[in-house]
Amino acid sequence: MDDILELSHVNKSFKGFALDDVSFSLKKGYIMGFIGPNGAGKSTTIRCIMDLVHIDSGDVRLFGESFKNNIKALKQRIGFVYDQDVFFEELTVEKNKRVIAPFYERWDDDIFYRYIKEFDVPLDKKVKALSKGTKMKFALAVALSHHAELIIMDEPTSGLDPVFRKELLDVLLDVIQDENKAIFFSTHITTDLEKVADYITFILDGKILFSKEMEDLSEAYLLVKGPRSAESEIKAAHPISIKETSLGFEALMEGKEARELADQSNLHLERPNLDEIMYYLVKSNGINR
Amino acid sequence: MIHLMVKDMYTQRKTAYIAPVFLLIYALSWGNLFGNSELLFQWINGLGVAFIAFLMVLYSNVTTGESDKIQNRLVLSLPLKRRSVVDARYLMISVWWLFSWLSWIIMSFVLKNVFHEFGGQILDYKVLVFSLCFTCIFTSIYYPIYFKFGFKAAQLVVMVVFFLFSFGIGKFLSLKINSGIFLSFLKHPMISSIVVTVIFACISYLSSLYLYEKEQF
Repeated sequence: MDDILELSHVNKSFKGFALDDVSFSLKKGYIMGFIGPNGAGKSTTIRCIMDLVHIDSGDVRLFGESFKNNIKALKQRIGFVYDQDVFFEELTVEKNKRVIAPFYERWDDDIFYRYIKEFDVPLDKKVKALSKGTKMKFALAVALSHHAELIIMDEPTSGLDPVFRKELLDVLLDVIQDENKAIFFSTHITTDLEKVADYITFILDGKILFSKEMEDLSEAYLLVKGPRSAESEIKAAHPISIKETSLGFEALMEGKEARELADQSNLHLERPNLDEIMYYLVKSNGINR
Repeated sequence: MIHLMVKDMYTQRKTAYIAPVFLLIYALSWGNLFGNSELLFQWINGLGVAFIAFLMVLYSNVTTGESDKIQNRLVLSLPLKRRSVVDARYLMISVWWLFSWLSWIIMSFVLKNVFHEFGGQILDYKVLVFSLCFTCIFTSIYYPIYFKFGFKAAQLVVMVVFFLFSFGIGKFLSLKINSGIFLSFLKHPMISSIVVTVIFACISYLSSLYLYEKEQF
């Protein structure tokens, strides 16, 4: 059993928004990037995984067990980092640690203080007095201090400066050296994921558009560029989405179709980055709706 | 659950620990007014202790709607069951009550022996029972509303109930109703209070548990 996290046909309806048949899985030893535009359902999916909202149907399995059976024991093995200030604002960092640590059977003070020192987090300052970056560092130190096997992070890099984002990614790469661990990382800053993620899961309007290995993804989609004269040719090949540029056209296509088209005509192929894939898929979804 | 109770003590507002000082003012004014009626004296002093205990329960829950949700996200992401959160809240009622009652004992002792301003019995077990019962009744009304609608709505409702209850006691006793259920209530005030408290607490706990289990954060 290698799946550390598995969502099967998860449905959850809210007023005006729904998670619709969400399914994907994450194996031990990997980092999965969970991407999608704002309001696509990333945080809601994480709230479902953490049992903060009750799913209408489907199943969430953690470490091979349904979370309905033993959520308390399963959460011992999860470290979480949220994008909001969830810690006790009026308490110092040290007191926050004193409140949280006893809940974890495998809490390790040595690891905690090592990270606190490494991240330069002041223990005697109230959490409300910390900058966003320092709060995130503290959250990360907590998540990593109880030997969690699954680290779930909801937009950990949003609003952070590039220096700390780089530090954070280095820490994640360090954590994942232990092959029994996995990291599930939601973000809309896709450049961060390109550096660390093994898998990418893309959610849009509550539906999973794809969940693929990073390498497969770069094969699955291609960016086709050509002059204006090639517009009709590109459109005839049913691109996922097409955009006019100052030089001609740019379209996102399925990899195989794009290669076939490029063989026949004078079109330029490029590997799209995650930002471009996200942009064109969101655009295409807007047109198809 | 014990960790959640410790968390409540850590996160309790510092001003809450000053609240028992109000008992001094209370003991000097209301606490001495009903020296000729033992029952009323016990009720009024019990009510004073209960009010401070209830204030401490309130202070331990002060949040805005949004911060409450965020705080629950942290708590429920920790390895615990939702039931433990409700259990801890209800158990903490007795902690805050004990704090309030001990403060009252100390203050009445000082008032009696140093300032000779307190005429009643200091270690009166009936005051102890009534204060615990009243604390449980107010918090029993408070918590289900808190778990459903949040802090502000619950605070408002229970404050109204508290003042209606406080003024209602005097009115009720002045009516001198000597029949039916009221008669047995007056004959056995302590047993009646305990029975009412147990009923309130059970209904309240089960409602809170049901509401919190259903809540989404």
